[in-house]
Amino acid sequence: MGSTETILQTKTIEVAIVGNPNVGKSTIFNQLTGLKQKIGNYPGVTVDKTVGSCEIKDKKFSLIDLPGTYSLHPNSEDEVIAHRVLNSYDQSEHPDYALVIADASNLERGLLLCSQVMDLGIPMALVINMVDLAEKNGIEIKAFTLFKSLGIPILLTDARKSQGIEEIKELLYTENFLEAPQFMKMDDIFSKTLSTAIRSKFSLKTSYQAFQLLGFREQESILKTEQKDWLDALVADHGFNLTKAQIQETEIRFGLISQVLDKAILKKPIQAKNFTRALDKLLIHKVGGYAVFLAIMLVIFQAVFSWAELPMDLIDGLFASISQWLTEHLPAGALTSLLAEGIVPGIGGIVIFIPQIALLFGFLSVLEGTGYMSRVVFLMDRLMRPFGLHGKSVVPLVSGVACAIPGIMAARNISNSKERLITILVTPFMSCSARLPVYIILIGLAVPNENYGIVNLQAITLLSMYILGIVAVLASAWVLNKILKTKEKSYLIIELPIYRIPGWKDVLITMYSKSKTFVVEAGKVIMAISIVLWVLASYGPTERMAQLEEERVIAVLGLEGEALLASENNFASRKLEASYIGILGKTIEPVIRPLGYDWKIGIALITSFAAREVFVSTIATIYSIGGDVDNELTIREKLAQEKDPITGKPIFNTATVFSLMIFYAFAMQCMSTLAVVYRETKSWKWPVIQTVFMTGLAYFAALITYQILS
Amino acid sequence: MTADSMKKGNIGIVKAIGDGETKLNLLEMGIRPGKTIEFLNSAIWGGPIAFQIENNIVAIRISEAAGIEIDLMEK
Repeated sequence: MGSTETILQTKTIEVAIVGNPNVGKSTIFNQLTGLKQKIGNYPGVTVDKTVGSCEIKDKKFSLIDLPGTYSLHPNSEDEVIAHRVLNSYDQSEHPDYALVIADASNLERGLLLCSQVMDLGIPMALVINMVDLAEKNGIEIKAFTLFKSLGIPILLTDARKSQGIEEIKELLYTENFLEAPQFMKMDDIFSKTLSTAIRSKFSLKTSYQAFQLLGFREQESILKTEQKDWLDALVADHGFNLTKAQIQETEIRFGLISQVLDKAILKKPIQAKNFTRALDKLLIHKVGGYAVFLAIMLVIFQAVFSWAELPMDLIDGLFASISQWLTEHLPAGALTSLLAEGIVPGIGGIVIFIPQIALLFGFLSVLEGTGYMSRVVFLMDRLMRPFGLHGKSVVPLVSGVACAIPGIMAARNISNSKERLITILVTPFMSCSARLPVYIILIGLAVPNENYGIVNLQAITLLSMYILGIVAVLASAWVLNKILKTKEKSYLIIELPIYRIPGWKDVLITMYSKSKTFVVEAGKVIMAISIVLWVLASYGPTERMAQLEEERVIAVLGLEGEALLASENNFASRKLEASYIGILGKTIEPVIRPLGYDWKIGIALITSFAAREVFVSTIATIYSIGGDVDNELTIREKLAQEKDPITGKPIFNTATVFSLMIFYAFAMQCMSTLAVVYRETKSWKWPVIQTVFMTGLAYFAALITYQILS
Repeated sequence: MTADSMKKGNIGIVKAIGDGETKLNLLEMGIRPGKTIEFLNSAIWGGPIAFQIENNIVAIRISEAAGIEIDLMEK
């Protein structure tokens, strides 16, 4: 970078946004930054790092959206992040200011966090959000009185209605942040000698920062072992009881906050109509609550599948025509082939899932935004517990129906590490959307499209596959729960927020960012594997391939139309047989023979490692169907006619088809999922165990299925 | 008595929070001495209990509720 440029470039001002859950923090963040958001990672933890940028007049701001927390005590990784960022331990994070968001109806709780941030000594301001609702409930906030007691700038806003956003921008622009006067004197619970010792060693400004460092020493990966040992020794020397001190701290803070609020809040006894309580009479009812939840889930899945169908067909067609266009217009050769048969279908295989993922996350975000999601956690907690899962495991599992990757990432907000691990390990059993095209082809082969009473046999078979996935989730979770041990206590303390209309902008941004995360996470792996598979499928021992090519040139000479196509398809199939992947398929044939599969199906099993739905296109190529791969009827008819060359019986008989479906239901065939599990668990141990367990289970279940049915 | 033995519609005042691993979490959620607490609903088979605590509804498991000592208010 040139020196003149450096001078001209204005400094980006960093502001950390912090607040309790459900205070409209992300709405304010979204209003300020829109789509200019980046999701990254903090080193050593799995919390998403959401940073957004915004420009106000000639100033540039970088806003860090910290996860919602009730306090700065180390309850989960979320607090570790808030703590680390606000104290600027991490060299890459040193916000200039903190913007605390609080809910006007819940100021007492909001001020607990706010007062802790105040005592860290970072220049800050307080935004009191959702004032309309508080006023309706008879709560009037005297902002000036509050300002005088706290000594920090205060704004009243209603972000959902975009009220006060301009004022926040004004506050940012004028950098009207103040370093707060000390809110709580730490001396009574945290001795001066301790505080001074820590402050001088780590050059910290305030006594509360020193107290915080002690509290986070176990979790803080940025501390060196030597520093941790020093802190441990200090605690032991002073006989300091941290937990007791934290409880005392909380009690003292609440006491001080009560004094502040007595002066700053006017409460009128308005008996407002309590919409939330009325609605909860049904929604968290012992019977009705579950019925409504089930109905909502059915409606969502129905909508996700039917609404996504059209865009998915369009994407499928688009990528097929791009491939075709490339083949026709580029000079024939390896590069064109790689592009048209490797890269473009690879990208298509990722993009095709976007409609379902965006829709599902749209619906989940609506449920979250209305406040219903917490009720689901409440309803499901007891049902999940016997399986070693938590009420909060429901979201990852439901997401798993679209794709396991966002599901596994959603397991982050389960604080108990054992429950989180079990959730991550079992989520891939949920029947994801990549399995659907495989099931549809296979069911069409083995199950007659007839009605039994009012029940369609094919539909009920498909439904059974989804139920089988859920059964596998619960059964394996139950087993894992017996094996894994933890000392951590499992607990559930969750706020059931008031019901409200979701912020539609927030919903859209969630849909966008989840799809983007999926494309980035799954995309890398699917692309890489698609290319490797293309190489394996396009090349083989040179002699044999050359010989086939010669034969092809002679055979197609003078052929036209249908006959030409049939001949080309025939050679494509024979080339695939001769390729490395064909050799690989034949190598594994003895292993998969007992499951009822021949080497051709073996090839499809291997290519499915890129993504399960690749099964369909591989099978189409290998049985030289070619042409219109999307026409499921064509594939189905062709497959039904396939005969075993030795026995003369159909290859896709009932036993083989059901064995295949069982295999696809259980096997770990998704590299992208494994990559995400590795990242979330920070070791290769769990993805390896997961692969062995799932694929082993798939093998034996498919073996039993085939042996019984054949 | 403790909050887990309350019945639907019961209202009480929080007297104390027992020392336990979740004491700090309960305090942070605003469940602390002097607050009114009302039993709203419980999930099936001994699942979590939803309490109205002043302005908020908070759901906790029975094991956590057992740590909240309350004085029941007469209706």
